[in-house]
Amino acid sequence: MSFKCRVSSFKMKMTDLLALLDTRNRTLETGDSLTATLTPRQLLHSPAWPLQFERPLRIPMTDSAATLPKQYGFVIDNRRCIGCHACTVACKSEHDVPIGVNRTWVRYIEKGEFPDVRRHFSVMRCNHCSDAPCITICPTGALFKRKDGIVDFDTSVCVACKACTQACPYDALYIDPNTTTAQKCNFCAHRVEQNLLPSCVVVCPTTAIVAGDLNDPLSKIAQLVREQQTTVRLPEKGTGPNVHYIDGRPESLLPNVAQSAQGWMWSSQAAGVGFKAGQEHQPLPGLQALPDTTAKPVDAAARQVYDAPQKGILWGRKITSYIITKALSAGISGLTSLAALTGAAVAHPGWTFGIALVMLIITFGLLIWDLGQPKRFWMLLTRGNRKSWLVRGAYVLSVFGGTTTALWLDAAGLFDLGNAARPLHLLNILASAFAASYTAFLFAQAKARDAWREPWWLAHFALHGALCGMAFFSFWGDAAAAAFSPLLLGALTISLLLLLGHGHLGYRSAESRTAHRLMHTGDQAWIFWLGVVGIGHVLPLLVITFNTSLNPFVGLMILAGQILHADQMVIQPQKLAIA
Amino acid sequence: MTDFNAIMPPDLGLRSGLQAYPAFEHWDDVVEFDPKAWPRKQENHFSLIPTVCFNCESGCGLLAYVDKATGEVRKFEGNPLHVGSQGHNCAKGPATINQTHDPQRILYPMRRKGPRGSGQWERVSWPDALADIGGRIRKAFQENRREAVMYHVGRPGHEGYIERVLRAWGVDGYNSHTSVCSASSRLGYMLWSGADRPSPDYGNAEFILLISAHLESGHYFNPHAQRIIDAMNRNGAELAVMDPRLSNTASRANYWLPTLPGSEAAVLLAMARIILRENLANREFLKTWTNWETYLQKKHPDKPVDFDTFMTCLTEDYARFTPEFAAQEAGIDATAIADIARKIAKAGSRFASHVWRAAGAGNEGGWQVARCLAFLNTLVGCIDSKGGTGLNSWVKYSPQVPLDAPAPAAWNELIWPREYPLAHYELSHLLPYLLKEGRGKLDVYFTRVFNPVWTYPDGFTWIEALTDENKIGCHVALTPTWNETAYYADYVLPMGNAGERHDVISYETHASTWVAFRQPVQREFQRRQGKPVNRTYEANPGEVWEEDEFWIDLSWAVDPDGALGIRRWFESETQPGQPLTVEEYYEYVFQRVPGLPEAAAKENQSPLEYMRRRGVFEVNREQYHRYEKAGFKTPSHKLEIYSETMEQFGWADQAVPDYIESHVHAGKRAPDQMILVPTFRLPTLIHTRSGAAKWLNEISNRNPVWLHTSDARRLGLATGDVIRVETEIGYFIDRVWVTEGIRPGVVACSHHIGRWRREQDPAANQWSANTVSIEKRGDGYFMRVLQGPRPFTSNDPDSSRVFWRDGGVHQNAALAIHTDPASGMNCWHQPVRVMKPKPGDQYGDVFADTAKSFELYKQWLDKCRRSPVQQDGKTLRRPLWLKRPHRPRDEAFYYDTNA
Repeated sequence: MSFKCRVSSFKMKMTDLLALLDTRNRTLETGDSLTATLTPRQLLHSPAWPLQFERPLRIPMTDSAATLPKQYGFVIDNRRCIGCHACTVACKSEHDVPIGVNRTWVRYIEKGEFPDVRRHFSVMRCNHCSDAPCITICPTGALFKRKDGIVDFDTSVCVACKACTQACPYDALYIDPNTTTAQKCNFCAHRVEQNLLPSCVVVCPTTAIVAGDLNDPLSKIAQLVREQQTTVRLPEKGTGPNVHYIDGRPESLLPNVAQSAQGWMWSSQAAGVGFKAGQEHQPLPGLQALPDTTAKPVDAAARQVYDAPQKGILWGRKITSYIITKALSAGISGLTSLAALTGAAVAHPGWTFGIALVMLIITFGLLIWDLGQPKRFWMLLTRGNRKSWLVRGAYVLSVFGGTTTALWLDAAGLFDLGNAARPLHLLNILASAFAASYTAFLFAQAKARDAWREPWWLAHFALHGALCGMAFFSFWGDAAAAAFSPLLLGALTISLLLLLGHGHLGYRSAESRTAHRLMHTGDQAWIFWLGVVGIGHVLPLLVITFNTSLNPFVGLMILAGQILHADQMVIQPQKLAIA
Repeated sequence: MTDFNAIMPPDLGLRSGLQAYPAFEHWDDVVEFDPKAWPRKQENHFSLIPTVCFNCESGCGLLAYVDKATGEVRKFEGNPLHVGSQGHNCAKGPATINQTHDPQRILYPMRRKGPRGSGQWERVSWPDALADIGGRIRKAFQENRREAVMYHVGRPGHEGYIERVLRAWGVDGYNSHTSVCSASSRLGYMLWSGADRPSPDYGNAEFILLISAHLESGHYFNPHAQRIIDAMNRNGAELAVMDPRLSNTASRANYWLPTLPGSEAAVLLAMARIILRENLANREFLKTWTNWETYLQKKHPDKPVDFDTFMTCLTEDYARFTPEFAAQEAGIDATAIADIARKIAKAGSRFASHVWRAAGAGNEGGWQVARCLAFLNTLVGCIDSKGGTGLNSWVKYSPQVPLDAPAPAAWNELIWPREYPLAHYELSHLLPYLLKEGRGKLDVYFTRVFNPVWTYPDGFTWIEALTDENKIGCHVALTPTWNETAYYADYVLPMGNAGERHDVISYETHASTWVAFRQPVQREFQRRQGKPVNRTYEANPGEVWEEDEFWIDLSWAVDPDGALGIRRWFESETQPGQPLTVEEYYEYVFQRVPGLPEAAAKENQSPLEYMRRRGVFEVNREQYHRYEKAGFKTPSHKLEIYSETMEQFGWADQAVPDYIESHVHAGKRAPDQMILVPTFRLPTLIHTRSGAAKWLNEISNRNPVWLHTSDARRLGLATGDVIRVETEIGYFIDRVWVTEGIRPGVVACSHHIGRWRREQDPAANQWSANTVSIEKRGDGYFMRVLQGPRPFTSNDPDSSRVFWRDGGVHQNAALAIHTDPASGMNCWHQPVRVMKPKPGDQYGDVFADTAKSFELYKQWLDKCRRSPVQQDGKTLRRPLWLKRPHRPRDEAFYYDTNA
């Protein structure tokens, strides 16, 4: 009887597991379940266990063939790969993949010093994750998992929001310029359906790519994973990748470890690709541009010498603008309600609610405008994936729009809410706070961008709302503005402390640290220090402290600081290579 | 049901239940779900038609997916029945579809309008083109100037076809690309064994030594790579690679020997010395199968002729090649040399080795590299053993062709100048110099998938020759795609790509003899649909012809009434008075392939039908020790450790395996000169033909000069900096790629990149081509890049997405030729000065002084040793036992000594 263990989404060699648990003499029956708690030390001492894994494990033991569903995956055998790019081209041929973008590609790393130097090749592609972040974030279910474990894709329902490109830590997705939708390796599901192997597997001269059912203990792929030392990419992201590398090297498989160059050994990039095809390409700064030595490549002896073209920044200024218009909308509406509740009512609340609604409409407009398939925006509602914070965000904004609309009708004298006004104001404050800050949950789903997944972004987004709202009321110039002054002082101080204190709170990963360093010390660091910190925070704080009045000049500075901050936080992390 | 998982030996998706290919039984109607409509299940029906790749020389199998609804070719996959490629391909195989659908390919025959090379073209009809070209040839034949007609091939792979045509014409007009590719290695191998190429059995080897880049590029890239990698991973075989540049092959090696260019033979002889001194040689094999007696008699006439004495003398003769000496010459570690020598000896009969292009093609005396490598093969007795190194002549199949005329009695000195009696083979790179010297002229010059203006060194001299109508009366370019040579043609006649032509192909890819069939897949599709066409061009795109039918029709145009006695070789045997058909031709050929008629009969098919369906037939496999039957095809029928032929032809000093100091040896270079290795290929490209393949150019599109970190430091250069590389005849301006992957003192630049067109030339190959200007400057020519590749407009939306602007540098144009006096090889390596650019230099600039180049040609000509062999007042041009492709009658091998 053969046994297979599944540990969350990770696999472990049966023999080693048994050795570890000293259960060799135990008779196991089909359906038996074995629970064990392993310490990190025990795990480290297991020769089969390639990477760190610090959680206690619960290991159900079952007869895999009988109960485990299929999980197709790949083994990339780097002992066999000769870097010939046949897989790349066969894939292009099978799927007619446009120039500039790839479903699979080969990365070259050169490592060592003459004559002890070698070039290493690694095939990159979708990892058909057990817990695929692209599926979670996809708002319309265009990305979905098949019963056989393949992460497949339906072009016809993709709105091209590009969220998946930010969610996939393997940079497997791109926006196809022919269809203007996302695309990626789908394991040639259309071939699998006809009992055929993926094209890349068939073409490979040295059979370095092995495809098969990882859950079938008799398959070649399962045998390789069982008997060879294999590595997966970025297991700490918790995606459960199903592409296993034999002789996988960190400098090849992890981003930003090897040094990169401007252009490769036999190619170069001078224009955008995919969604940005034909556009002038701004070369990404690369890690050498960072003055801080701690952000330098982890492995100075490894040099990246070939890779696929860079896709550029996929969430651009429309997303920056959406953050600001949303913050303005939420801030104006929320503060109007707050003022109403505290009795320091703002002048012309009909107008302020009205302006908040206009801002909300612009926000929706920006979101739709940013879609590659704007005409399909309704699919977010009809096919909404409720796990996606893009969809949840739409719900949040809708609720917020509802409360604000009701309050606007009331304030404009078009409808009398009567006693309902007070609870509705309360609800509106909550809705506007959520509307301002939910983006942090969306960004947290972007598993490719650790810098966006730090807990402080929740506070920052909420503060965006508050500060933008107060900036607005500085122009409104009435009693309410004065009433907000102490609030503003507090919000600005917290915001400033957060901005300066990120580093002390600790980053969730080296990648996040590097992205933040890029913001703080990169070639555009002056925007952060002069614009965001200086003009956006320190100056207004000084003025308010000495003057105590919230005037339009201060409001302008705060607004500028918030705009620049939103822009930096959206753009800078995207300058780092994902994979 | 055919189980292709069983056919394809390495376990692909074994037990995953997934197959590599649809079962053969269903090839006439394979249903696929449209990948673009997916996950909607839209069924497409395909007819799978086998053909053979037309990119590199490997002859890998392809399966064309012909859409049954539209008749269009949708894609090319591998052919699982092909025993050489085993269903796998390199990047160039699937990219065949790019070449087929290239929006800028030539679809109609073109004739020049203005002066040759002026870039003005008009469409011409095929009958008009055939009548004009045929008339010119007829005139030459009628005036008895048969040497004025020449066929020059770049990519061959049409076994026996053109030779038959030229025999029918009575012309010694076959020219090739061999002298810029493999002439050296061929001579080295030939002198030993009577076969000019090795056929290593990598799949069964225990130790592999490559002086080549078979895991990176040519020549039998895919078939060899799969077997080498398999032997390493399955059987634990070890690999050693000699290359001054860290190729992808070297990257996979257990031992990388970054030998100084030209030192390879010294290293091999040091290995031989270790095997001899440590008594590791296969004495029995040496005693039985080498001409050791001759060696003793010639080298040690005073010694007794017994084997022990031979071994003693041999050991002493090579004692001077100490590992320390070799290590000094090569700049490598002496212990690695000894380690490898012992491993070679341990592998014994399972030692597989190869030298191809690389050191052979780079250096003067490079032929001794092959000879020294074959010496190692001989010492350990791995010749034609399982896991050893066989001979191509036993493995490759040469077809019998119908209506075969006798060999011509002519000898064309523009192809085989008398200065090179031992050349292997045609002195193809010398053609423009020989013309310039006034040694002859050509009435009609065919270039067939051949682009010397770009591929050969000193391309400007080729432009000079091609534009001189007094030297070349009519230049006909037969090509699937525009190229730098076609710009200087009178006719550009579009010829088919891999799926648009008939050819029979066989190569010694491994220990198996196979015959493959390239066929026009749309023609075959129409036949299967019950709508056969008479001619391939009726099914091909536009008015694209195949050469088979072109030569038949042209021969009729040359001899319309049969008066010249040519037409009869091109007449149908079944329908007299009608042209021969390709069906008849290949029915004849395949009927005579041993075992094929029987195999076809089992399927109730004719041999031709069998080949049309399967595309390949394996004649035999894993036959070893074939020399035991009839010996070797050398004069002594033994492996010749002493070559009496060399002695007889004035090379007594090189009659045994020896080390010749290369023209780039330290002693021959100025102290400030580095060595340029300009020959390496990229895994994705193949000379001219890949220029039209978008997916290949997307991956590789520039060729910076590789420079070691220490050299870069010395020169004050960093990656991306512009540099000037000065050769003997000019210079080129490139960028630097600073790397640890090259030996210090050596620079390397790929010759696969730097395609160009002038502004007046037809828009073509814009995926890869720079736009350049060329002007006469002093005694030479100056090329400047006006613009790199750019997005362009075409019916392929991808043409607007070209994201690279750097099309590389045409370095070949600045390279001097050096003709090896023995093998006739152009020795590619260049002594160069690498420096920062001078004022006015721009990236992409190339200058070459063609007068200087001509002087160099003459200097190297002076090194030649003419044949001293006299017979009845006549001089023997070439040893009669040596191979000559398209061999004339023996009587043509002599010239009148006093003439």
